[in-house]
Amino acid sequence: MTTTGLEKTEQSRDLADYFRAVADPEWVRRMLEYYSRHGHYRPQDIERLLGDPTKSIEIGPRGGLPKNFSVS
Amino acid sequence: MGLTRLQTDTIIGVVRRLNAVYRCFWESLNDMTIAACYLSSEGVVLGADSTSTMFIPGPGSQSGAHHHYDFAQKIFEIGEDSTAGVAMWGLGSIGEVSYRTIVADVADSATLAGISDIESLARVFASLFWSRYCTEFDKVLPHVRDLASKAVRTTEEMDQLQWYSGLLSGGFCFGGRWGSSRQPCAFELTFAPTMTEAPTPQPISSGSTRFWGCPNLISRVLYGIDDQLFSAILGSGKWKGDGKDLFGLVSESMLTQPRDLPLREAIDWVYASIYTTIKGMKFSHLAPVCGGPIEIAVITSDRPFRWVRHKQLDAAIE
Repeated sequence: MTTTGLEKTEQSRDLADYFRAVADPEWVRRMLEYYSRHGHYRPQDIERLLGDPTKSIEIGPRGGLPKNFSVS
Repeated sequence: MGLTRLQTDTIIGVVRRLNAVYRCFWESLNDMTIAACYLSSEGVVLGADSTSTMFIPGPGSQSGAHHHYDFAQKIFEIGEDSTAGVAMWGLGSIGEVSYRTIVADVADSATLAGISDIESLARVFASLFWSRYCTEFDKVLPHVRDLASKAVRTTEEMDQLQWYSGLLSGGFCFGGRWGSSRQPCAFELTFAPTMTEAPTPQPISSGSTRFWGCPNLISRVLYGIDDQLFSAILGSGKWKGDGKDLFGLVSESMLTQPRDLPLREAIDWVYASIYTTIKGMKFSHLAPVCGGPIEIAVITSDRPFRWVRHKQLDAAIE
């Protein structure tokens, strides 16, 4: 079954309406509130997005992933 | 004898005011980075961006703004005509002493002491740096360590600990060879305000690349996930399997790296990963804390420290 251009447009509009209707999650609200108050993001928001400044990430040919990720 | 409520409130108030003052001062030291090191059988490739983020305080305690300066130097040759270099990330300086000066001091000390390998060189650096670090931040380190030692922390304490940890952390990657050895090697030194003694050099394995500062972007590009998100999924209570199950799922989509890249390809790999991080930051909702010219240096088994990409002293003049 193929999707026509008109159906695609309607789907996009439905999706946009859905996102407009859903309230921001709590963590987004807290993050934006902190930003508007301080002019920069909370340390935990920055760390979640960019990485832990106290740790390295090792990328190797094989076996690098378990070192970075807490598998156990 | 316990403190009265008034005494407790007074102490908390003083600590908060001190924190506000220190915060203003320390934010001027903040320096986010993307730094990388690739160790191969041919040599070591060191790379870093050039952005230095500084808070410039204005008149009064509530004014000022963050500035992103794009021409900081984060890779240094250790000494002159030497066979070792260092890349750095995190905390931008120690009081009024620059890393440039500390690196030069270490080079002098290493020559005088007859240091014969990179690991010993890193130890000399760690000792010198740690002494300065503890002196410079002696007023706040006990407070941070106290926060870190608490089994239970309030939200405010959690925020403070994370803030101090982010601001006063960082590290150095030493690469090359020193003395008579032709074998290239690299060591990482990472420091944080929660540590109670000088950091110990950690070796980097051959064929691997390490990233520091803002490493999550490259992790997501290659693995499709970063370690914090990995842990968050595991700890969410919504994942029915264990860590190995999740790893199994992730590993199906990861891109594996070649073991021992030829030198020029290794240079391209380090450059491309830093470039990717810079552009990822540029086209995001976050501040451009990584950017500016990408600097790359190599030390090979047969040649001394060489710059591949290095900005001129007049680079910031438009």
